[in-house]
Amino acid sequence: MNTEEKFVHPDLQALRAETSPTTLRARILTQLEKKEDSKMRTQNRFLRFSLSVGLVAVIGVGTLMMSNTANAIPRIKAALQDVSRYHVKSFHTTNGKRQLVSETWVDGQSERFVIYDANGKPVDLNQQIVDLNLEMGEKIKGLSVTESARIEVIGQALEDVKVFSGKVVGSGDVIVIGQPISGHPGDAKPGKSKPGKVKPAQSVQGQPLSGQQVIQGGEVRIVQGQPLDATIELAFVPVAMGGANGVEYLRKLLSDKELWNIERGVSLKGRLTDKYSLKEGLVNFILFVDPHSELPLLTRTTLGRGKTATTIEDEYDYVSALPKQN
Amino acid sequence: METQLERLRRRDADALAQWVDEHQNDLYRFLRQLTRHVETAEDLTQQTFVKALGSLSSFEGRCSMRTWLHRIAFREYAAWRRRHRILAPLNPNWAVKDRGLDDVTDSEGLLDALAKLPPAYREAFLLFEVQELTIEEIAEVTGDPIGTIKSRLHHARQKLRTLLSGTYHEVIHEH
Repeated sequence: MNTEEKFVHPDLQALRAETSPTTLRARILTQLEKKEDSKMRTQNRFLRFSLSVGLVAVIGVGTLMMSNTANAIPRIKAALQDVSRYHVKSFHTTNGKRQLVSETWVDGQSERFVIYDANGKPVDLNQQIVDLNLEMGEKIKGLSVTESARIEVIGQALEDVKVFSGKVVGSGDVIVIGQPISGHPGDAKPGKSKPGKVKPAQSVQGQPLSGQQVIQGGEVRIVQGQPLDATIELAFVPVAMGGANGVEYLRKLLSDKELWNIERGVSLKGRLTDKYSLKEGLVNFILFVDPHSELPLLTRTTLGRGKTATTIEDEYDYVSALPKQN
Repeated sequence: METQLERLRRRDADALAQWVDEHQNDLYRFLRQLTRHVETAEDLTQQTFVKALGSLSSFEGRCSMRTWLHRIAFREYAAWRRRHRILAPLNPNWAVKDRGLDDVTDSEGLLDALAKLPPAYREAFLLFEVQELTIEEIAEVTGDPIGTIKSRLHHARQKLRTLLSGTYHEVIHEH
């Protein structure tokens, strides 16, 4: 016989009866039917936005209370909304090394996405991509955070995953199931084997986790018998605002006209641009805009300072044709 | 005869619609009450379906589809919570305005109290009392041992008893 307490409260029935908004069904179905390869795209997008515009979203959230300026921003927003064809190259700079991490081509409803590995070679997206969660328990002491993690394919726990101690997991890292994480200058040390557990990551990308710090996501390649590319969420990825693509994020950000300091006539690769800098924020964010088309040319997000700073740049152009599909 | 799962795996439109109809409210409710944010719950519900559809090949039927979807939803929520925790210090007002909260304020008293509990207690409570999953199913969803779930439920009730003094009572039932 199983005896259990039963909770009774007047609110409980109302909670059980709560239903979703009427528009959600159509939204979900559209999403499911639109993409045959939705999972792969989602993951790829996730990586990209984790690394770049997700940070932008955070800045937007974090600085909504700023004081006033800039009337030009809404016009940029309008220009962006008219664009259905664009190309974005995303670069990631750490330790002075700038690397192309992804490219996106959008032409109306068509979209193509390429991720580049640490050697600058396109990742073969036709490989099987598993859906991973990096589950982390957190123990906060002062400003340091200890992470313990479990890697799991959705619906299927991975077995024989080693325990790691003090590992710094970064973009392009390689995890070999059953072996220590390799391919990273960190100090991965295999601990005792404990299926399903990987712990702890006390820092990410060389930066200590803290209660005030935004950490970007990373791509980790999982190898289990054969290479599998996967994007996992790593640490605290600031994508809470949601959104379908980078331009939508930018639109949201640009909708707030009180965020920016503006400098006219700033040179960018030989072109005169308008430079928009966020007045304040957890990270440094700059947007270069073409004064004629009012379209963004470059976004630059910098996290941290000095040698440990990480810079994420998205270069926009509006003329590139879609590359041929493989 | 083709099963619903087989139809889903070949992305049959009718099967997808039926699948969403069957589980959408359930997942949304769970996520809305965990996050207390309508838009976030919508995003996470959508993301849950997207991830589930992409992972159907790994669904082996060892648990029910409902439990499996809760498991994915829970992972999505857990990831959101980690992000949200970091975001919170940036702008404490961010989570206050919840478009759509007016629709559900009648039942927010209990959620207010739940919000004061540790997340693990709150999660176990919602899964058991609102989603009406069994202890075993909750263990499947959260990946925690059954004993841990029972302990969390017990502590959740204890704390709620204090927080909701006057509006709470509990009974013992046998099954």
